[in-house]
Order: sequence, then C-alpha cells, then structure tokens
Amino acid sequence: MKHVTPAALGLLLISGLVWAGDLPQSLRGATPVSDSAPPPEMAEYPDKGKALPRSLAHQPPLIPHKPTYPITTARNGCTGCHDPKRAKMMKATPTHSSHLDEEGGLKNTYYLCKQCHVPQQTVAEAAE
Amino acid sequence: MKVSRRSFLKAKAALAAASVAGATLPAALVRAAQSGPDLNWQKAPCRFCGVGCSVLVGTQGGKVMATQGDPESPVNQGKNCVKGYYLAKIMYGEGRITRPLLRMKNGKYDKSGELTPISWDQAFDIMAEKWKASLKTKGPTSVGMFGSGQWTIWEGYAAQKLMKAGFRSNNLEPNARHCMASAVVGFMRAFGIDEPMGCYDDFEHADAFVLWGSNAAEMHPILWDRLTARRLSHEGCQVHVLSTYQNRSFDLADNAMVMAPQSDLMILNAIANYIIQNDAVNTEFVKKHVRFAEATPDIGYGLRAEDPREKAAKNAGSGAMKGMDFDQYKRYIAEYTLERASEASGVPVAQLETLAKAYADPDTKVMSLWCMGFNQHVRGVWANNSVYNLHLLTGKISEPGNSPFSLTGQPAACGTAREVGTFCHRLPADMVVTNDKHRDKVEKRWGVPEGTIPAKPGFHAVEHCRKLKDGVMNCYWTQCTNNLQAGPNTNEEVLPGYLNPETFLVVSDPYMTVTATVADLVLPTAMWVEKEGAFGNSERRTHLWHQMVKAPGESHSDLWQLMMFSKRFTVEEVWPEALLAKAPKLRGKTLFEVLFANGTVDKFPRSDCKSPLNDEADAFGFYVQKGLFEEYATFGRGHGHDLDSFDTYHTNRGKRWPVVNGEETRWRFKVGRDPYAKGDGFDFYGNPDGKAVVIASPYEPPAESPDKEFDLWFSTGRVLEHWHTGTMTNRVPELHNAYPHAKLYMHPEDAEVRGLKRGDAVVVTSRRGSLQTRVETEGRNKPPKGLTFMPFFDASQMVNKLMLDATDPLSKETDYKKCAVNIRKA
Repeated sequence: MKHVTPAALGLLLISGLVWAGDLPQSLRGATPVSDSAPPPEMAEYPDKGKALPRSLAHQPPLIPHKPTYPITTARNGCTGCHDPKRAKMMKATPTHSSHLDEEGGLKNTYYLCKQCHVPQQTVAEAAE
Repeated sequence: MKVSRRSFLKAKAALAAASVAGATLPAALVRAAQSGPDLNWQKAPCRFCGVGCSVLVGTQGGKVMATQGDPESPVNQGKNCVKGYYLAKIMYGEGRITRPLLRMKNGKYDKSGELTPISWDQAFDIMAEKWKASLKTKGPTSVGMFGSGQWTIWEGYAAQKLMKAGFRSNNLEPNARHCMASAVVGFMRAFGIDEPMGCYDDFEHADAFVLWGSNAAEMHPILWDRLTARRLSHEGCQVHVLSTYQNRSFDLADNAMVMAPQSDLMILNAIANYIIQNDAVNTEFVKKHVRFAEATPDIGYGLRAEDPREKAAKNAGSGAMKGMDFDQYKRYIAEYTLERASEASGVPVAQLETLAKAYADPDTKVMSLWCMGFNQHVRGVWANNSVYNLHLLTGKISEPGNSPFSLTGQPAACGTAREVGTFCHRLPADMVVTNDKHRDKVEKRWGVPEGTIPAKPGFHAVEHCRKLKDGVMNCYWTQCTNNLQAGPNTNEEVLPGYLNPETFLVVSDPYMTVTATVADLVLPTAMWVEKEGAFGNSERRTHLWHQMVKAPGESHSDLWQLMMFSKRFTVEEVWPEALLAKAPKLRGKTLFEVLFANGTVDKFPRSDCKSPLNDEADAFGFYVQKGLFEEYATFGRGHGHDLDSFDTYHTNRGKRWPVVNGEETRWRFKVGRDPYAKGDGFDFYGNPDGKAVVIASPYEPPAESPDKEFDLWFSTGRVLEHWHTGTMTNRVPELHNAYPHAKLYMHPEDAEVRGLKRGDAVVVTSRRGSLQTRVETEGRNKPPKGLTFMPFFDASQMVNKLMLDATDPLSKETDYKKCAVNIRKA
C-alpha cells in the first residue's frame, strides 16, 4: 500500500462508497423478511389496445388487451379475431404462418395461445 | 449495464404505460429487436423447468441477443413456452451481483455488519477459516451444503465429492428434496431403480391422460401442448383432470374433478379396488411380473420429535414393508369403494367410475401424470406407489402410451440431484451411503481411503434449517437456490437458522435473492450459458451446452467456486490421522489434488473443448467438465444408467439413458426395447427378483386441516410466467408485467361472507405467521369453497412463512399444498 498516493486512496474510498450505496437489490424491497408490507394495487389489463412493441427477435407478440377469451376443446376464443382471414378486418395481429397447417387452420400444437402470448398490466408501479 | 434501480422502474412504468397508449418505446430503454445474419446460434437446454426443451441461443458482441425454440429438438420441436422466449433477458436484469460481498463492520467480518465488497481471495479466506474452525471443534456434521436441481451435472458431482469425501459430511442436499423426493422413494420401493420407465413419446400414443393433481398446462407447458395435440387429433382421446381447485388444465378436461385435499389416497385405492372387483386385473402380467407388499401405517409427519403429532404416531418415520399376496391385497383395499371415495373427495361417483374405467379397460392406453400434487404431500410416497399399483394391476406400463409418468420440476432434478445423488443419503447411480458395498465402490473410484464417506445419512433439507437454528450445524453454503423464499415455515425455522449468531451463511447466486440479503457472504455467480453445462430432464434425457458469453464482473460458476475452495484445505486439516494412515500417498495434498487433479478428472486437455469460451478449463488448465462427467459416468455404465460419451452430447439434442452402444432407451423394463430387460415380456431388473411391487397403503389424514380458528385450506405453487422464486423471470419486464405480483385466489362466496371483494387487501394468517396480499375471485384458478391458492414467486409476498414444515416421513419432502389459514380484511 506504500505506493498508493493519498489522492488515489481517496478515490478508492469514494468509489468504494459509491459502490456500497449501489449494492444490488433484491426484488423484495425494503420490507424485512419477517414482516409483510401492504400489497401493491391489483394488476389491471386494458380492454383494448394496439400491438405492443417487441424487444427481441423471435418474441411472440404480447397481448395488448385482457386475456379473458376462453380456450377450450370446444372453441378457441382467440382465432375469432386473429385468424389471418379475419385479422385485417378485426384490426388484430394475424396468426403467424408457422402456426398454421396446410389448409390455413391453427396447428394443434399451437392451440393454446396463452402458453406464449401474455398480457401486460397497465398499472405502472410507483417509482421510488 | 449500468442502469440504476430507479431508471429500471421507470422503464417498467413506461412499458406499462405504453401498453395503454400502444406507443413505441425509446430504443435506449429496451433492447431493439435484432436478428439478422450476425447472430451466432448455438444450442442449449432451457434454463427453467424439468421438461428440458432445447433452445437456440443467438449471441453477438459477447451478449445473448435472442433465443428461439430449437427445431431439431425432439422435446419441443421448435417451440417454447413464454418463459423460454425471454431467456435472452434473464442474465441482464437489475440486481446482478458482480463482486463477493462480506457482512462487515469496522473492516472485518461481523454478523451484524453491512454487505461490503471484498476480493475472491478474501472471500475464500474467511470461508476456509470458518469451515476449518468448525470441522476442528465440532466435526464434519457441523458443515452443510444446500444445492439444487438447477445445478449442472458436474457442479452437483463436484459438490458431492467435496462434501462427502473432502469434508466427510453427508449434510449435502438439493432443493430437489422439496420437489421430487417422494417420487424417488416411490420408484425405489416399487422398482428398485429411479426415474420413469416411459418417456415423452407416450404423449403421442396414449388414449387417455390422467392428471393427478398436476397443473401441467402452466407448469409443463410444452408437454401440455403435446397432450393437447393428441387430444385434438386422436379420436376418443379423453383427458381426466383431478385437482384441489379448478385451474388451466381444466380447460381441456373431458372429466374435470375437484377433490378435497388428501382424498387422492382414497380415490387411488378405490380405483384399484374397482379394477379388482370388475375382473380387470391383467392376471398373466401380475403373476409373472408383480409381487405385493403392505406399507407400515401411522408414520407421523416428519415434524420435530417433540411435536405432539410425532409423539402420537405409532411408527413415526417407518418405511418398513411386509409381503402379502394378491388375496390379502384384495381384502386390504376392499373397504375403499367409489362411494366412500366420492364422499371423502366430493367428486361424484359417476365421474370416479369414468376415471376407473379408463384404467380398467384393457383397450385404453393410459398415461398418468403427476408432479407436486403427489410429491409435496405428507403421504407422497404412498400416493406415488398407489398410482403405480393401478398400472401394475392392469399391466399398463413400459409400453408406448401405457405410462405412469412422474413429471419433474427442475431442469436437472433428474440429471443432477437424482442421478448424481446429491442427497444426504445418496451416491451416484442410485447408490446409498448406508450400503457398505456402495461406499466402497465410490471410495475406490475416487481414490480415497476406505471409511472416508460416513455411513450415516446427513441431515435432510428441512432438517438443515432446524439444525442451523439449534446450533448443531454452523457453516452453511447454498448454491443455485433461494431457500428463504422457497423453504417451508420461513419465520420459525429457515430465518432463525440463517440468523443464528453461530451460523456462517454463504450464498452463491447471480442475483440478490432474499436469501442473499441475509447471507454473511455472497458470491457472484455465473449462470446458464455463462458456463458450460449439462442438465438431465424428466424423461432421462441428458443434454449439454457450451459456454457462450462471459459472466459479468467477477462472477464465477458454482463449479469454479467449489474447486477453488477445495484448494484451501489439506487432507491433514480435514481428515483424522487414522484415515490418513490408510493412504500415506495423499499426505500433504490439498483436497483439490485429491478430488480433482486425481488423474481422471484432469485427464482431458483444454483443447478437447470445441468452444472458444470455457472459463473453468482456462482457470484449471484441463477440460474440467469432461473429466468430471466421464469419471461420474463410470458409476452408471453397465448398471442400467449408461450415459453416452461426453463429446456426442455436444452434437445432439440429448439422449435418454440407458444409452447402450450409442442407442437411447425409450421404454425401460420391456424386453426388446430395453437392452437390460431379459426374459419374457417385462423385466423389472431394478429388483433382484425382476418383479415390480404393488404396495398397499391406507388413507391417513393431513398434518393440519382447517378448524374454527384457521378455517380455510391454503395451497401454494408456481405460475406459467415465472420460474420458482422469480429471481430471473420477475426481472424480465414482459414477464413481470404479465403477472407482476402474487394474489390470493378464493371462491367468490368465501370472499363475500368475509365482507371481501376482488382486489381487496387482506391479511392471511396461519399458526406460523401472516402476510398481506389481494383477493382474486376470477382468472385462471377457481378454488372451491373452503380452499385458497397463492403462488410463491413474489419476493414481496413470501407465502412460505404460512407453511407448516411437515413432510412425508419417508421422503422428507414438505407438503406445500395443505395448511390452514384465516383471512381478514387488511
């Protein structure tokens, strides 16, 4: 340490302090583990919305509206709007061609849309 | 990657706002979509669940930019679930730890100090000091390690060697104990060998699927897609779904059954009884390939010995079985009628009969599926065995589509936890520490003297926390797990154990988990494709990947950490003189030299690795992963657990063991399909007589049930969008915004009588603690009256403080599905 100048030492201390103040945070926030904080507001999802931006290649489109359309063996509540034959008229994102069979129907392995397509909450979390 | 928490939250808020406005976000806030020709695509298994999908990982400029489903993968055939599509973001969340952090005050370690950056050298110094002092004063049982079913195979194997041979402590456990220990014990009791006989190909062959408490639609989404495709394309295909609440898997159900908690034991026995009463037993199969046994009843609940429930149990913890014949078995289960099962479960008799007929009809191929509903169950082993009983009575096993299939939660719960045997009683390839021959074999292979590995099993996972709290175990290292959020009875057992002044807690993690926030030493850890790895999935498929990017800052893999730590000990410091006297050649050596530079692990040069990146091989000067894998694989080859050669796994999408002469095995125990199966038709060669065991067990009640004061059932589990405690997925904005916080699902009438409506803040209280959350009466889960469900991914609402640490007494796995709570307005 004898070669370290006071100025460098000072810098080291400052950078250490800066670092210590910038410790990685857990997702829990400030509430001690043994306590419990009041819960945040319920997530809400918009009734309607335009297509959301995608940030990754090969990312499935996000659902810009409520995810409440049922999918059962009897019917798929998503294809009513997202079937490529109707999508334009319904102003909906058409189902990707990779999901369709030769006749243009939804492939069985892609039948459950919500395995990959998820909605996004509208309630912005309060910034610190 | 210097984004403050504030701007991260702003970005999240902006994204949320954008979802209303439909606006495009500034490129600085979210990484722009980049595909194009510049990405370098390599294969890797997905980081999350036990399905084991393969993904293609696109890197550019030292960073993962995108992932996509691997079209060459037989598991997922080019698809992913929602989590898989966001894998590219899991390494780049806010809160990555990049330097070792020690709790310090006035420049030195202090349990009441603040986490402070230190060097790796300082980190290993303090760890070694604590471990050596503890080993010297209290012996090997005072140190312990808690790992993971998310460890790579060689990380688990290195931990196994360091703990059981190096420190001579069997206190090594994986978090997989919380996950599939009941499945393991079920397999060992019935078949004498672990892991499913069938495979995912069964999805394309079955006529009927039965979900026993599993919500595979959310937890095993890609397998659920395969099941859906079969249901929609195969005429007459039926899906039977049993659960304690209506969930997403019910969307596909032809026979949807909501049952009372614990009544599965009644239903299972009632179906076995139905099969017998309706002459549906496959007599020829049973005569040739099955024997019968009876489980010991009244076995307690794995609680502390002083708990009245343990004291009241006649045979607490007994796994003893006694043989019986078919007629005795028939009489044993005669009392379990469909009517009685209906009364106990609330499922109408007609529906139970429809289910029973699927098993009884010789022309219906049945695939039974289960996961945490059976495994996290105070009688989980019995439940596992009882479902095998149905398949064994009817001979519906080990053939395409006839498949009792135990689903696994974690990506290497099979590959690492079970196959490597990182449990307190296990050794590689289904061997156990209590067997002299097994220990002898392992010690010889490892080149350590006879008597190195203790014969007594160590403390199991739930016991770890009890022993830390009681001050019996003091030095504790966790890797790749977040037990303060995931362990049961957090406030009474886990947290007091970690905060005990006698405890020195080391947490290795890429992110600041809640466990890391209370650690004494936090070690920054490389994750997923920041290291070379290997996982083993639910269908016995072993799958490898190369390191593709560097880990941030000073992060290093769990493997590097384990091996570097081993350099800090000489054998003289950890072994008694009597043991050293048996192996004078080892005198003066470090544990690193004994365990890793032993002539087999260091056999392969760095140049054997085809990847330009391999930080461990660079650090140690040999191909560490290959050496560990090949040494480990010698335990299973020739013994029904054969793995292929290391290098081939880097070129394919995994193979299902046993792999003999390069050929994988899809259906075990079936002569002609499994090279180990000899003789006539089937050969259950895990048992010396070649027979599988039907094990009779009674109904016994849960450890805790609702009463006047705590009047509702409470159950916990996962959700589709998040992996376990959300450490990775809840830092991905799209996944966070899809399902941001935990909430309490309850029946609308249960809410109404308490003066509650959807969205109200409530306090949920059990005998062990309380938490605040919001009420949900709609959405994907619809509990019946009297039952509530709340997921555990949310660090801000830690549900496991409500849980009782009652376990299956045989498997030592916690029941996370049943405890009693009350709910009032906050």
